[in-house]
Amino acid sequence: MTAIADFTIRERNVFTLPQSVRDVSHLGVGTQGKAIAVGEGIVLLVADPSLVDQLAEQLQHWLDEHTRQDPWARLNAAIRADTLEKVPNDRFIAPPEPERLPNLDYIAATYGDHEDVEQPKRRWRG
Amino acid sequence: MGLFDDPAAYYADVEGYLRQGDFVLAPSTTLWSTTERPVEPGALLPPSGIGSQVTLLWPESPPIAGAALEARWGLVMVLPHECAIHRDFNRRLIDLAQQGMSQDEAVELASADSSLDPTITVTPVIPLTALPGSDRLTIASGGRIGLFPVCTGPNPLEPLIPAGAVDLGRATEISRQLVHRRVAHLSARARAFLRFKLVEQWAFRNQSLDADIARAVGHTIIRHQVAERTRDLQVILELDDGTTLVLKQDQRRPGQIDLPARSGFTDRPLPTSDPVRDPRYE
Repeated sequence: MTAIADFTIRERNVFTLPQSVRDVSHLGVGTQGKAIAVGEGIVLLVADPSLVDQLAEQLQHWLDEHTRQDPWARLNAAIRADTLEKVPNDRFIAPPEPERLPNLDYIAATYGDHEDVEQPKRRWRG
Repeated sequence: MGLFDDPAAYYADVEGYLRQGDFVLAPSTTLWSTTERPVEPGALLPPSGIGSQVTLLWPESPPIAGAALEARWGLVMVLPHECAIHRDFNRRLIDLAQQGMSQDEAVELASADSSLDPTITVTPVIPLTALPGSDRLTIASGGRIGLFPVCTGPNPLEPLIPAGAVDLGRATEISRQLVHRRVAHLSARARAFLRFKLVEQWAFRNQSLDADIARAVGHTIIRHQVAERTRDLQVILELDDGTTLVLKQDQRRPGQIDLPARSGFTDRPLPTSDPVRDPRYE
């Protein structure tokens, strides 16, 4: 959802903008225009009223496309909406482990190393 | 559709205790050298969504390398079987039963003890788009060691989970208290494949050969071919079901597979190209 409203730069606002932003944008005390908000944390200040509608539309389109390409967009939305299942506190009751000694000879024959061949040398650290 | 591209086969509706193969939201971490992840000290912010941050653990102090912590927060998979997740709890049940307590009383008492099984092991889910393009098809079909394929879902119309892979090599031990929400469960068939991939990654890589041999039992060999390559011999068996079984013998380990001695082969063509190319055996 897009929200557009008037803004006026006041003296106390100017100094919150970095000098580099002021230099390029020419935003200063008394500048008026439209503030376009297209999403959480995204506000565009536009001093030229003829660009407002077009910029708002393009920004919204870009944001929709960005969300569409974000593989986590739906999951993030579900996290924010808190619609996911709470982690259960239930416990799994297992049958007791059998008391038996491992057959080490069988285990060594089955799972033992067979890496007696010469390995190519690899530098682990630079 | 196969297991890995059919949400109905891959996911299941399960309720109750946390179990192996559950997809949950939780942190996971990697410790890096500061030469790999140069970073300034500073506290991390609480995650506002899925993502990762890096912070300095300690600076380099020769001969000890500096360490940086990459803290991810997002979708992870629970790796241990529920027997391991709830191991302390079940041991306590046995102790309490030996003290004469009834099962219900023992379960109630042990359930109230949050110090039992305080941690679990999780590993992150990587979207397919973040994996190498040339490998995606093989990864998505379960053919890469160390990567368990993730099917988009669980609801195919509005999937919360994108297609991807669980990176089994990036496991982290975390407190159970840090598991935020559960997102989905694996089906029994997908859980079986997860266990196969866990063994393959962490313990016993050659089980795929055992599985191939087991699959061949009961079939008739209709053609065979023996190929000598630089380092190994390949015995290629064509079976009556149209499949091929390739047995390899490392020439430097002649006792590894029970094949005739090299001198016993009279039909050892030196192939100009491999007659059968199976990427699992390259």
